[in-house]
Amino acid sequence: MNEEIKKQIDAGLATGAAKEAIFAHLLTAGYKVEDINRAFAPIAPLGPGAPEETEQRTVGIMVTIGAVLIGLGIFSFVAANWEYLNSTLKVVIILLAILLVNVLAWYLKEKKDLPKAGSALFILGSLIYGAGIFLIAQIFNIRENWPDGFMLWMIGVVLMAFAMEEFGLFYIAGIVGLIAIVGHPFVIFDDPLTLNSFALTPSFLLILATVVAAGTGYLIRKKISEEQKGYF
Amino acid sequence: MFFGDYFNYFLYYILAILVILVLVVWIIVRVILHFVRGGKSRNKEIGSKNWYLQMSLSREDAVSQLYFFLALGFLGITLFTFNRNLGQPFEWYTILLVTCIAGMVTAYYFKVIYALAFSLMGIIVWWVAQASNWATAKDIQTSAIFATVAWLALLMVVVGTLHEIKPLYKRAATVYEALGILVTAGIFFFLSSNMGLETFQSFLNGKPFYSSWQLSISLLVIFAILGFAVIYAYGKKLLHGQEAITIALLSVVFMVVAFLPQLKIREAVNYYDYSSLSGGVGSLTAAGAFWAMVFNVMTLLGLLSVMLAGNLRRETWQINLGALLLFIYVFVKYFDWFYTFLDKSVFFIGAGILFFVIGFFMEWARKRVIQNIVSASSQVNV
Repeated sequence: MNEEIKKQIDAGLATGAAKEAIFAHLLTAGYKVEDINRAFAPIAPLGPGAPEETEQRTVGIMVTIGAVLIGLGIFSFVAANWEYLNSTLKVVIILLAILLVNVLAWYLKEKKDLPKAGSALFILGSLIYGAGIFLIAQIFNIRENWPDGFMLWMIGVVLMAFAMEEFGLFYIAGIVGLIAIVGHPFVIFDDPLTLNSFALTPSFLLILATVVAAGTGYLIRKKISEEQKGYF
Repeated sequence: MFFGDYFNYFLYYILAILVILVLVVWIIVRVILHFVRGGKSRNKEIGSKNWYLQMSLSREDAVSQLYFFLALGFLGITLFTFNRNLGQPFEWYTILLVTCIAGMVTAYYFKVIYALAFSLMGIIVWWVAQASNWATAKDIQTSAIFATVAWLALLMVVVGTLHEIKPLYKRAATVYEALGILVTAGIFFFLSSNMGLETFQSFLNGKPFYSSWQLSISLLVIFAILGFAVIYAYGKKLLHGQEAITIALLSVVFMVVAFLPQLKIREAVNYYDYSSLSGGVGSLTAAGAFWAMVFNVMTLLGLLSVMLAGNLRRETWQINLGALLLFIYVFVKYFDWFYTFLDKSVFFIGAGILFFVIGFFMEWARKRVIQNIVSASSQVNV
């Protein structure tokens, strides 16, 4: 497989085609990104650490920081005026913020071909979504264990990661899931000597979180090359 | 009662916090390294020489393993919650065992290293809790449980070497070996310290383990499996002679520990004797001094054998791990033995000189051993 790709790359380079064009051609020919990258690896300009990649990375870091700063600014503005807003307005603000940021992220990524800026906004969207869960719980005084919010957050971000093919969101959802796992023992088993048979955490949420996490692990595993799958 | 409800409760909490702390720190370090290295990772290629020292072979592998691990965590919490809602028909450690079995199946089926490490540690915790339950029911010496934990850790080392039959399973082999070495070293570290010796004395209180048929059968089965595994691995040339002898020796020491009668390790403290420099700790009895010597010699022997095994196997990670543990051992011993009766300035100057000398020799020895490994492997390649 790799030899075939290398031959096609050499043939493309010999005709003077740009590397990006060869890459796109190989993708449409049905080769996997991983295999193409591996075949391209010995060719320095597209390899890791190349000037274009460094530039892309810098852009990525800058737009991510920018998105987070904008988010913090909006959060602080809303927080300062929070007590003057009624419940309906609060929910509308939260939902609108989630919707707008994610739509803008999708637009930048898919329509304007600005993947780094789009990814940064998806990260911001996932943070607003998480904050929204806790704010809604606070507005309506929902009686739940706090790690449940993190489970809902993880599930939502995982779905978004699959829908938008945003790999970075899987990392965020993973960290959020870990916080839920750390938190649960503290709230479920906070009194070991009395039997409190009523747990606030809904069982279906726990089962759903288990299924979503296992399903995500399984689906991402399917993307690993057959060669790599054999390594334990 | 040492292993009571509170102990189980705190054990669970401490374990949960430790596991998560390690994971969170690990993720933070990985993210920082990812940015520092500009997205590159050393030895990431599966064909590279040290591929098995990577916890993941690609970003898909890392995320997939993380989510399988999360699924196990959520499964455990779901089972715990159901158990609590149903009025706790099962003990918490039974649920931990079920989760760990699911973890082992996941680990082997999907090749998930995180799940393997978690499940192995979980099984040891389950065993300690289950065995202490049997022991406390009949007021039995808990020293036997300590012995079985050491045997299980040694068994992990041997099972790790058995995994090396398949070159593709080398990452799993490394996890077994590293965990086995760490647990064994931890037990010896603990027992060779002042606090460990006092705990050892309390472990010897009570009836012998053979008063409980559950413990007797378990000890017999674990020891037999360990013995069989060592012989099999040695027969298959997966275990070197020196390694087999060290494992056998350490196992026998713990067998003796399991059969020990009640012993007095320390004399009672005379609080009216102000001339005493013991720092509130009674002096060792003859038996105490003997066992302190045994545990210290065994710790040193064990750590040296880890480095020696690393040399025999041409495994740099094993040499580094042995050197690091030896360094920690000397550090702990120095504090343990000299802190209370040396002048503080002399103590710190002594510590500084000691560390410099040890560090110098360890670096020198490590460099020589690794050079030997490199030259040997280059000869093989030629």
